[in-house]
Amino acid sequence: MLIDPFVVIAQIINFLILVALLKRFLYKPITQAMEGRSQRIERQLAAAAIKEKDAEAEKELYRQKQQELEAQKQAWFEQAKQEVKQEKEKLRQQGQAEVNQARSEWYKTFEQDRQKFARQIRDRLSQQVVLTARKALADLANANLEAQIIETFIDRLYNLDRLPKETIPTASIPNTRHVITIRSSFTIPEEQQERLIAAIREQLADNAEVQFETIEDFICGIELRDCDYKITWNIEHYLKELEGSIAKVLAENNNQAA
Amino acid sequence: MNLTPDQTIYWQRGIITINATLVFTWLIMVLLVLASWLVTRKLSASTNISKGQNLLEVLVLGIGNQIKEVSQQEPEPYVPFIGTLFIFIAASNLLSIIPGYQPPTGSLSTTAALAICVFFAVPLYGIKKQGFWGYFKKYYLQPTPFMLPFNIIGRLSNTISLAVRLFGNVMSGTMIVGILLSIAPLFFPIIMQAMGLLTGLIQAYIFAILAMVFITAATKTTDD
Repeated sequence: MLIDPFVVIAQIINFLILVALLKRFLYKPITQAMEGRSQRIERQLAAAAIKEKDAEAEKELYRQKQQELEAQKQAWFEQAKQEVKQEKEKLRQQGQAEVNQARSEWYKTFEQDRQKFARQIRDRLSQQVVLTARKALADLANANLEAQIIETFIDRLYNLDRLPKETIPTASIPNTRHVITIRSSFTIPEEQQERLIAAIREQLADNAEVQFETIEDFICGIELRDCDYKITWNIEHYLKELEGSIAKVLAENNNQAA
Repeated sequence: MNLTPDQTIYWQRGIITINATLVFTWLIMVLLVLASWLVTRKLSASTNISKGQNLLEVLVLGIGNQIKEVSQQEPEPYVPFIGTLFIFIAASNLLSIIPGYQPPTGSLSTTAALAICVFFAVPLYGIKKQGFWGYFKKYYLQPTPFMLPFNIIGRLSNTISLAVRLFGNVMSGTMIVGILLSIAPLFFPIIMQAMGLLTGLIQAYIFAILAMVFITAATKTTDD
């Protein structure tokens, strides 16, 4: 017989035992191992996803920081440029001011020197002119310079124009007395004082009270003062003309030198 | 020449017979359990695994995938039963390459025993899944209750065909090799032996898949 009942039953039992054994030693452990690995991979993937997220966040953070740094650098650069520009402008202005100040000081000193020099020239010239005139007058006409000045002045009084002659008597009189002052750089002798008084009373005011004053500031001359009116003969006038000419020559020389 | 390993008797007392079928079955059982134990005693859940573990994982995963494809259900409840059917039959057939070995599946008693296991497993899984009445109504009273006898005959014939198909294939393979050894002992038996390996594996696959198909028919609800 092909089928042995005992063998069939035994094989059924064998097979069921084998199922149990393989379930215990094969399927269960293998399934568990695969599930464990699957869970582990899932955990690793989750961890990797978190790390990737963190890395992305870090990357974004560093990117922002880099942008901020770049912007800050640009701002600093712009600020530095502005500061340099301002400092340059400030220094330029400062330098310009210093140059201007030095120039003005130089001009001032130069002007002072020029004026001093002109004054010296004028003093020397006046002295020299006076001496020369005096000597010339003495040699040629045997005349005294001061006496000649007074004569010239008396002559001018007699030849006064009509307008000043009318103006003087009507000029405001500060007091009841009509005082006319004669100022000169030298002392006028008695005789000539009398002639001057006579000329004044004849030409200007017959009641005039004449006072004589000697002024050191006058280089060489004589002056009549009556309130707001004055008649002068002074060598200073000639000297000023001479000084003007010299100044003009000096300025021309300076311009040429510049 | 013995037609089946049942005829090779080592020990007998009354109805208790220890023949080659049982001995080689035990041998296969020991081999399978030992190999499984050796591999699974040091399993690793990491990605770095041993070759043995890799092989067993591929095997178990492959069985699970096949069950899932056939049943369209989660394979976990069926893997031990169907997987053991496949592994046992495949091991029985593949070991026939060893001289002196007689495959237990060449015994009609063994294939009948396996078919009987399937015969009982089908209603067990079906009742477990959809209850006794649901299973009975769907499996035996369809399309009408008048078909009940035919359905019962159909289930029995399924079981018998399972047993006879496997027995016939394995037995014929052994027979052909035996016959060829007497006719052309030099070359052809080797080719047939190689063919036998392929046939044995295919038979194991067919047996397991058919068992799964029967179980699926019993467990598949209209919702599935």
